[in-house]
Amino acid sequence: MAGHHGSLKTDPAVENFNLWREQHYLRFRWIPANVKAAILGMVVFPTVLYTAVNYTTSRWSWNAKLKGQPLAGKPE
Amino acid sequence: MITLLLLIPIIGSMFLLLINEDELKMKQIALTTSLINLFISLFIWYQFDSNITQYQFVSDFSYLNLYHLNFGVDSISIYFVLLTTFVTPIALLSNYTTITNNLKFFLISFLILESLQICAFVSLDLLLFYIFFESVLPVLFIIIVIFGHGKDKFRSALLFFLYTLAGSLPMLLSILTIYSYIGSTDFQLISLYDISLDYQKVLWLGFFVALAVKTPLYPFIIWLPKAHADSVLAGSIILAATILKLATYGFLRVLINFLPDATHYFSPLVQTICIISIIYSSFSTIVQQDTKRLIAYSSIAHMAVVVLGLFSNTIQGIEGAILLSIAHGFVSPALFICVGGILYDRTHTRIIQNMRGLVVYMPVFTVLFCIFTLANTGIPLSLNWLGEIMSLMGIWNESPLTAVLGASGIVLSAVYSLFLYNRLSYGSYHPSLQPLKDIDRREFFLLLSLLIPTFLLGIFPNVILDTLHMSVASLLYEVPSYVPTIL
Repeated sequence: MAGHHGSLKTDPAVENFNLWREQHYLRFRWIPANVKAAILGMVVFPTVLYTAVNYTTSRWSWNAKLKGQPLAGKPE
Repeated sequence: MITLLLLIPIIGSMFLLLINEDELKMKQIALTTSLINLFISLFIWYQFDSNITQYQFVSDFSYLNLYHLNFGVDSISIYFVLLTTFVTPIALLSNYTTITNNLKFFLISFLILESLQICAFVSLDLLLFYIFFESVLPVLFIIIVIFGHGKDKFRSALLFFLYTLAGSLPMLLSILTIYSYIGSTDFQLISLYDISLDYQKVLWLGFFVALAVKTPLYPFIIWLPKAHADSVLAGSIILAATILKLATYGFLRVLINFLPDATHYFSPLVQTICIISIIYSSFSTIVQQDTKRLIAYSSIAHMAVVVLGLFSNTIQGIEGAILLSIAHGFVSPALFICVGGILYDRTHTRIIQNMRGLVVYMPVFTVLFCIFTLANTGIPLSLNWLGEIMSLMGIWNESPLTAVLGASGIVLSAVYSLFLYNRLSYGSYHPSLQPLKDIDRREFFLLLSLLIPTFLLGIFPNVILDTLHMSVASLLYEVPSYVPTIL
């Protein structure tokens, strides 16, 4: 097999830590902290963001505006 | 011409079947086949008339009476075809020395994959597009399972396969609904029909779920980092460069083209999903310990910016999205070659903590890695910067808040990209590492061939943009089918 063999002397601590990180999802439990994070991250923040985006979408028109013209609305 | 593009990889695969022992000959045949395809696609691009909005090089196989086989390119699909034919030889070369078991099978898989991807980009029929959109799944599944690394490679391949397949079922339902409504799934026929807004909304949701899984966008992202991490290098390259672009193409060709009213209606929802994808995936990227997984997560953020540009309802935004897709198709494979090819071949690890101070023994690699890292963050003069800035300027016209939040992705991408580069390249040389050899000629020319188009097209983007204007304009406005060039 091609490649360079024996270039790295692996540290078992590093390997174990990385394995622990990769298998972190197996240890997921619905503890209060995780419930709070899930509600904030999956419900509250997206809802607030959607409301703000919905409010600002197509609200202002920036193209070809002259001095004194309002930004509100889209030109015909 | 288009038929040649589709058939030549298949013919190459058949030649490979005849060879048994000679591995060098197999690799040469596969590489030559993919290079012939590249030259044909360059010739098609050279012959392409950018003043016409209609499909060109149309091949109609209706006489076969098998199905409505109809292939052609316009100025949007030509660049995705070029990207596919450009990246395939690079993918083959990236694993040129590392694959020794089942080499014939490996090469045939990638040639067939090239053909299937091109078929998806040149299909002029919605059901055909769906068939080829899905057909890449079993091939990639086999590539990840047989040639991949890691204990979890089967799980990663299964996750990728089932996620994408399940996500595409709503798209199939939408296509069948369109067929029952219109009586055909031909692109040109569908574009003539005026579908009511209520129907469009339902159809749009079906297509969007499939394309959101493929892109991927939150919350459908979990398959990508696992598929990238456990896949062989060539598989990661193809996945990052062209498979994700199938979704971009789907957004352009189906949602924006055929369902414009629903696209405008759902634009705030898509913008929200894209912003969440950018911010959440960027923060996930910062904490990654696996180099390939880090780059995979960064792909999610970049593709979310692409989708933002596509849904900006401006020519500038859509052209920026296409440019960013193409740029991502150059830079992401280069980064995978750096970490998943060059470093992994030497150290057999992807864990960042196992590597430090690489500049001491690999200065040339470090320079190239630095340039691609900066390109990934969107440094000016790179095509990535142009794509990002045009996408964000386009979405600014639609929603300034979205543009500001989307721009946070640029800052966050600088954080994780420079963090990765700094941790790998500088500091004292890692005590567990033996002195490593710098990149060889093959690796250098692989990276150079990706570096040149990234910066050349970043400085001269009109090479692409001049061809794109008509087709992109026809997505948003009524334009005549031919506009003569004024000299």
